[in-house]
Amino acid sequence: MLISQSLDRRLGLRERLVLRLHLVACRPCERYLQQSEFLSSAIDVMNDDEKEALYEGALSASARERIKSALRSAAPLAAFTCLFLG
Amino acid sequence: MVRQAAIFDESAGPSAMEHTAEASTVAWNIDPGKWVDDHGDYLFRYAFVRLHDECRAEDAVQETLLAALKNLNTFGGRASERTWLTGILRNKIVDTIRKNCREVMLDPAETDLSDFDPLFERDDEFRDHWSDTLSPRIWKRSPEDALTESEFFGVLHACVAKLPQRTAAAFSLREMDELETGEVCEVLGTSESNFWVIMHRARMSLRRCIELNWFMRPQ
Repeated sequence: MLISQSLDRRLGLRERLVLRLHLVACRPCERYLQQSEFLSSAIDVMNDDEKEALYEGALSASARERIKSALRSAAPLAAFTCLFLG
Repeated sequence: MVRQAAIFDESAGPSAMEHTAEASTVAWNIDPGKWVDDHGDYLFRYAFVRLHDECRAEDAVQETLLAALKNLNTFGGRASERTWLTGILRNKIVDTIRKNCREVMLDPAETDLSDFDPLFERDDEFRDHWSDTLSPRIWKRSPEDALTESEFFGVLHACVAKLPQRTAAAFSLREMDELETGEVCEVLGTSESNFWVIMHRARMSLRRCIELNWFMRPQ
């Protein structure tokens, strides 16, 4: 649990010592920490604007139309046409 | 329609024009007519990775664009159109999560990750405390390479979607949106100590899931 918490908050000095000592002796825990850190960086990449399209996904055609028509009902096209002419 | 009239009413002075939402549109060159085409897919992906449900994500996008339309005058031109819309969407998502999580607090499925807990009850034990099945393996595939493959992100996202609802919400609010611990607790209606338990379970489960479904798979 300390390992997980170490990713979310600053551990106290004593906690850090306990954790570090444990990691020296416990290979699976060391692996767990590294892999958890990797998980965080993977999420960062998912958030990165340039790379986010790596995750494929898009509005379905029907959702597109539905949303467009909802927007049109909320602000009739005429209003915008007037704006750009006026 | 009253606002529309103000633009074409010659008796209304320039100050009336300055404060109408439509005037903001002209001044900042926003075109709501193009929002769906320009930003729809991006906003949908943003919502989908956090809500894990196509319908909810679509609704969130629709509500966001409608709210943005109603509040055009809040677009100050300081940020890009997309940043502004994303900000509105983010708030909608947090509201959705807050509402849903209050409703699922008593769901028994929320506790089914408690299998992981006994492993960490005694942090001061230096003996091997992982059970064989759950012990982290040495990964066969390179983590760095994974980050360049879109298929990996599909797996990662599927793993997050498999988490119990509240756990998934805590994880994505904290890791994706980088909300402070206190903010996450407020949205989920939980205590800080419970939050640590939830995050711990989320990480254990996700690590295990991506290990099984990606890193131990032969290339």
